[in-house]
Amino acid sequence: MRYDVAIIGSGPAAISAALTLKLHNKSIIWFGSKNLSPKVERSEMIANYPGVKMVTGTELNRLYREQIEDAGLEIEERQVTNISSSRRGFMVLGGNDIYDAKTVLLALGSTSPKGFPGEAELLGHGVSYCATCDGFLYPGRTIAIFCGSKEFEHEVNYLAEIAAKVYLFTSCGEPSVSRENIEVNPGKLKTIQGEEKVTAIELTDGTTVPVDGVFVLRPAVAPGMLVKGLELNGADIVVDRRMATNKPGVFAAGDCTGRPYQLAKAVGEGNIAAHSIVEYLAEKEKQ
Amino acid sequence: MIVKSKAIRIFDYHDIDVGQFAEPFSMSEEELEGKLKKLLLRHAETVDADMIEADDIVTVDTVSETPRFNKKGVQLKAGRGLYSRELEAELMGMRVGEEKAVTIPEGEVTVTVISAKRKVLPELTDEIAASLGIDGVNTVAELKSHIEDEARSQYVEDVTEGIAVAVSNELNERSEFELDPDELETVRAEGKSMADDMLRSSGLDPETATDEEVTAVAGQSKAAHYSFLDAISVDGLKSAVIGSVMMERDGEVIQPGEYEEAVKLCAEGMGLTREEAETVITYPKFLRQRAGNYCFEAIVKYVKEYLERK
Amino acid sequence: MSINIAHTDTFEELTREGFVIVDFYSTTCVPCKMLSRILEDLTEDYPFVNIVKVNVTDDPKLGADQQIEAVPTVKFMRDGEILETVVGLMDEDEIIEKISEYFYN
Repeated sequence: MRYDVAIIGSGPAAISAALTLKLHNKSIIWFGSKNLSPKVERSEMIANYPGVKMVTGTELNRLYREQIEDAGLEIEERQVTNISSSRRGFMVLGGNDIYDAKTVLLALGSTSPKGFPGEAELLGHGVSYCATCDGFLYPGRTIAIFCGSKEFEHEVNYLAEIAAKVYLFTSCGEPSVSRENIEVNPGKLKTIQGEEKVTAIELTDGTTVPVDGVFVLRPAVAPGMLVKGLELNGADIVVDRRMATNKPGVFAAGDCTGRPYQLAKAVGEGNIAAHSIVEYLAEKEKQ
Repeated sequence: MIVKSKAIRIFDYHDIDVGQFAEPFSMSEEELEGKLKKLLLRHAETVDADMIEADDIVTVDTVSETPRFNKKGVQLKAGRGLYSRELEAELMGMRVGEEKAVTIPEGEVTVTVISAKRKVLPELTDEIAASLGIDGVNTVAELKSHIEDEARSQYVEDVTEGIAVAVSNELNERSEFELDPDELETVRAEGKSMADDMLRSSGLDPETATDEEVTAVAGQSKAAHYSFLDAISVDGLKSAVIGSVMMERDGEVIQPGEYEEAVKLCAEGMGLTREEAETVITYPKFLRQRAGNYCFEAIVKYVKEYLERK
Repeated sequence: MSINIAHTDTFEELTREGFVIVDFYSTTCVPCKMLSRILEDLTEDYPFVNIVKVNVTDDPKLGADQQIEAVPTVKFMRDGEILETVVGLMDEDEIIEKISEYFYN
């Protein structure tokens, strides 16, 4: 089934857009966290949101959750790692499934992961983001895995079954699954080395470890990697006043479009984006 | 005896309305038309075109000073602009054998039409529908039905498990149980242990972790996190109670070797020895899981049957 | 419309003549399915564009011979020669641009 819109992100911008789009009877596939925005959750006290006197972030998220439920909306907790466009619209890779949507709303928030030195240069030449895609290249070889979230445990296991030796670096504590060939490295990954192909990794303690490949498994994907050719201004997604990006059918709202990182701005942009999406869909319908 | 706990009253899950959890399957006219068109295209006839129209597959010879436009036997789809928007515009209305001198941004080109072919979408008739070779499809109505059925099957595949979980929860809520205190304590301890492990694997110490830290990794306060996992374990026990009653009613027996197999899989999956795996999956735990799964599978079947109804 | 699956023994024959887009994928690779869908749509639309698919899980030797380091990888070939190799996903309009360039020049 082809959805009218795919929403990526579950903060205030996404929520605002989702509620409006639902009112317009649009079919929505919404990717994010059921716990909504951790940024909002962490806010001790919000004093400048019109209409809501002095509310805590936790309380606000609770209200949002109720509103989302009342509207009959659902959030799919799947990691979106890629968005591809074709004549059919957009193909959104959520988890291990492909979803079709006519438009996309990026409400990714403001945290953008920075890559390791060497990561972008050697992507596709020993550096991979996809365990099930490229694992087959390393039977009996030595690889390093940077695991940025617990949710990638399956991938780590999968790779450890194929490779002979795995050096595991994680930013989320001890992994709960261990196999004999996985060596959890107490050091931290600093750079990825190699000229035409990956040859080794350098750690923060100065040591160099020879490896045949590096898998970087991060929970969040930078907007530029998510949508190819998306115009960015530094880390901010460039949008016009209608919240349209340079790619037709792709809209963005909230912190990911830049400062100020404020609740009211996010909510407003989400609303504008929703209306722009409705207009865009109507135009396409006519064609 | 699979579990020690008992049920005082088991609600009949058949009385639970699946519809409250399920969005009815729907296929828009647009989607149906799209799939129909695709099917028809595959069986479309290719005919020689008289005068070139948009989307015709045309072969031309070109002569010019630009290499790209100085070739014989160039294939293109008229009007799409893959070769040249300007040149393709000039082709419209031309006939096979005709030669024309055109001016495009790249320069002067003499183009000769060698062939022009067109795909004719057959009109959707019963004969065509029957000719597609799909089992049981002999008319247009049957074809549309078939397409809808396939899409519905896919939809059912996709949503069944989530709905089954919701039904299972309601079933537990509406039944009454007499939970054995020792057994209850065991499963709750397992729940707490799982909650602890989840925090540990995110680098936290369950004893000293603060609400803020727990929220950052588990999305809720410490108390909420533990009570959530506690509720899940108790729910699991309830499902196991219902499942064991179902198994007895159905004469479903646990086969010899099942437990060993489960331990083996656990050992392999987690990289443990047999002994270690046996402490992860104790025999009572295995029994509970087996019964719980039996109950869940029955609910899945019920949900599927509901969804597959038209 | 022409999509052929190539193996070690048929690859040369399938790519030696004319313009061919070679789609290297692996069985478990989901992003590869996205790219394959786009290529299938394109070859249905432009039947004179030929696609050759190589499953590197089934045919690791062919993958290695062709120096495939990651999937999806797409090679644009003409008369047996490789014109361009692209690693990773491409949008449809990107692929169309390349077809327009390589098929006709």
